[in-house]
Amino acid sequence: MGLFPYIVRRLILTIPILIGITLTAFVISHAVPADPVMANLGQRAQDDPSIVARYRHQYGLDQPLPTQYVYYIGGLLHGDLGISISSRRPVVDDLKQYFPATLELSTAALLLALLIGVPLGVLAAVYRNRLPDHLARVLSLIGISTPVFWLGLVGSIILWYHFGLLPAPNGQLDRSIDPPPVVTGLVVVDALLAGNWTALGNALWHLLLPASVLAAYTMGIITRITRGSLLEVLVQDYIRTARAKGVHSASVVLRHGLRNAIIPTLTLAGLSYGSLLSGAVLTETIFAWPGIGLYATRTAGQADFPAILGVALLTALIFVILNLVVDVLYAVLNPQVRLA
Amino acid sequence: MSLQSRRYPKSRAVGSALVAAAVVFSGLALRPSMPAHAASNTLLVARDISDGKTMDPGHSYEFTAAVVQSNTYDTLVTYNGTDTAHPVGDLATSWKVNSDGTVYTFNLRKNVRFSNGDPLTADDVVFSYLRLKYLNDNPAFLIAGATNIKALDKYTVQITLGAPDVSFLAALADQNFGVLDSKLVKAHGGVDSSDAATKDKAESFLDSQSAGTGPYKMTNWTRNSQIVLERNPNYFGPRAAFDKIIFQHQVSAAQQRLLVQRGSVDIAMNVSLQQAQPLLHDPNVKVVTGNTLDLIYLAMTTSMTRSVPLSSKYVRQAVRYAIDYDGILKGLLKGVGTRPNSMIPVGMLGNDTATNNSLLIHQDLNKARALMKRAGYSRGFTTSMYYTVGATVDGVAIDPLASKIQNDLAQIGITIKLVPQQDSVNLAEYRAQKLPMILYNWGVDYADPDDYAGPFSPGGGPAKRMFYTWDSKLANIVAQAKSSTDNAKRVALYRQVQQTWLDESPWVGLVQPQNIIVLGSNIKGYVFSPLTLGGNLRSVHK
Repeated sequence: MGLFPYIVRRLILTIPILIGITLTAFVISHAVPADPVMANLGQRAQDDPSIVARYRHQYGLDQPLPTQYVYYIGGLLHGDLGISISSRRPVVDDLKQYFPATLELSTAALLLALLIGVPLGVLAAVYRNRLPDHLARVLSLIGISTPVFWLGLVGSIILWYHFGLLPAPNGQLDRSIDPPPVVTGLVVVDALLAGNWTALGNALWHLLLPASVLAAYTMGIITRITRGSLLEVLVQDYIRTARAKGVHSASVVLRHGLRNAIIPTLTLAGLSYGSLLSGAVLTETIFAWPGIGLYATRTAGQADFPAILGVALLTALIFVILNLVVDVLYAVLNPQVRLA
Repeated sequence: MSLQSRRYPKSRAVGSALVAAAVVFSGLALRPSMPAHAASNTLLVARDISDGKTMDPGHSYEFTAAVVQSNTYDTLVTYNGTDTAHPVGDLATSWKVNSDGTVYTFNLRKNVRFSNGDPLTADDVVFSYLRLKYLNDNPAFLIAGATNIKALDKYTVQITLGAPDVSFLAALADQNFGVLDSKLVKAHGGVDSSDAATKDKAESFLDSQSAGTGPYKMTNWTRNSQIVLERNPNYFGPRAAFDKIIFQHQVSAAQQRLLVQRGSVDIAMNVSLQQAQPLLHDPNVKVVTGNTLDLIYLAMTTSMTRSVPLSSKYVRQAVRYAIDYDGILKGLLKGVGTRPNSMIPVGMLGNDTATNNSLLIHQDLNKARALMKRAGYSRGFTTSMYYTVGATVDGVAIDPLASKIQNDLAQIGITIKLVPQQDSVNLAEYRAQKLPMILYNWGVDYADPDDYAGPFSPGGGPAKRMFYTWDSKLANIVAQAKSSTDNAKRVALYRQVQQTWLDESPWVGLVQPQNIIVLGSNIKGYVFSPLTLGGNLRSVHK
């Protein structure tokens, strides 16, 4: 079937998926014996029935569950995700504040992972069992197995604390620099749009270490997958034919080989991007990066139902869209694939 | 089939690697120079500000809010540093209490201006307090006892309580009683009428800037990122030392320590005990510890429906004698902390150091075993102890404390099954009276012994959770102490309360934590304020 109808159909199918997610998240979060009142009111306030009653009423907690769910879906259809019990403001505002920071960090991390992982994987496959291969595999192993918080802390200590090469772990921008006007919420992009080169440089400098730390795991996997996939492809007959025809060896590897071998890597990159976008709590903690990971963790612990549902929805939406993008890329890269 | 080097020369690979390395390192060399920190006259404070929900004194009840409000708002009375026994006037120059402790009359300081220049009058006080009451949110219990709040004239405020409550003056020092500029707040939708809970719209305004008389004003709050305070040029007291104070969000204690050690921040407020140890020998920083008024305690049910053995007061006494308090304080906490004899913190009226020492129970395993035998449990028994997984309370890690208690109680035959849960789950079950035993904590609301005696005696909320409702004699003593204007009599009554607790209550007071604040060596004038966990920065200068 054509590409465009396929995309449209997939997008329409997203809606039942999202509704299903809200139902599941709603049921599960209410099944946990945590009470948002307990989590958000002080102990003395909890002993005052009038305060508790007013609080419950304010957040609709005194309604039966099905009614609460219906109100929620009704609000959702208007783009209203409710009011967060722990931040006391619309969940949409919370997500609008925190998600761009995560988007910035995750995109940078994914780009780094691809920029380092793919060439490393190619080198490893081409120089199989020789030094580049061994180096690549060791690096990949280190990336996969090193805990993120360790990498972050040690990276901070060495590169910032001792050698002063990188900035202090205080978020996206130094406090003394005026932030660029918010357009997208991604400081790097906003600085670029505003032509504020000081802010741009400073933001990139702040982004470097957290993105690298976050990229390590994904880089490791991408290296391995690229290597394995390319090795499989390079023994195919058509590669032998290309070489026999006298095609230049770099072109054989990259244009003929990698183009097919890259497909599993792309699938992986898409899924990794999704998991990066759902929040990198540990990285955000260490580098004071104001992203969605910390938000999700905090609100989950405080039984903040609207926020929990908001994050679940956002994450589901991200994965659905990424899956679609990956599937379409598949078809584009490999015309033999039929989109059904 | 080999894919080897003849087609893809090694030198090319090495060459490209060298180029890549050169690019990276030149990038690092060309990095923007690190801007001078603390540009001009700014105080940089590293703090975990993620608990901040709102900065509106009518709604807030989180530590971060109290920290900010202690610098941006003034209250009628306040405390000097750690002396929480004697309130001193802040916006009030003097006050009178009538003979039965129900009517408080305050004379306001004249010529006080809010940060925007508006003059302070009694109407602002009345507005702020009525709003606090009628918003009926988290902090409203502080003023629930007031039946009438009015301005007698431009500079006199009178508050009438429905029943005598001597602790009210202490409550007035709380940050929630910060006085708001009524004109400004009303202009942004603030109301003090009885329907304020639904009609008031000023919270989002007060979340973006303060409307107080304090030495600083809040000009920016970006959640989970930073809070910016600027000097208030209209402050009536000594000029604030800094142009700006910036609280920058940092959750990781390890990073906070590195930040203050390197001088990237001036003050670090959440450095844990473990992280602070090596700092004691670092000449670049100063480690300050201060007594909080919070408590970490063990609670046992008194009802047979939850635990037959624990319903015996002798078993509960046995538990008190079994715990290795010294091991907890010296081993786990490295001496950073104090131990209350029961549930009134040391230093509070009614529990000064001498009283506390005279009432302290020490570990005595023989006595504990004898008590178990007396109760009929020389064979021991099994029960579950709940606690909050991964929690730290004022820097004290709860998981190791729970294990320690499990260990101690095993010495007298009590087998503890540890049940770590999320805080919201624990609290819900605790309040629903479902738990046999829980390791929990109490945060100070105001600096008066009634904030402890009330809740933890029959009639109080926590007491009810453990079915501790049956001792009406104790309830009477607590009520008397709450209404007596005679301090000496109160001290005597609270002594009785503590003795009764030690005899029969569900409670074992374990730790009164100390907060750790790390200062850069150039910071001067810092005074630890227990009610804000050290967040009051008014006296700080460089």
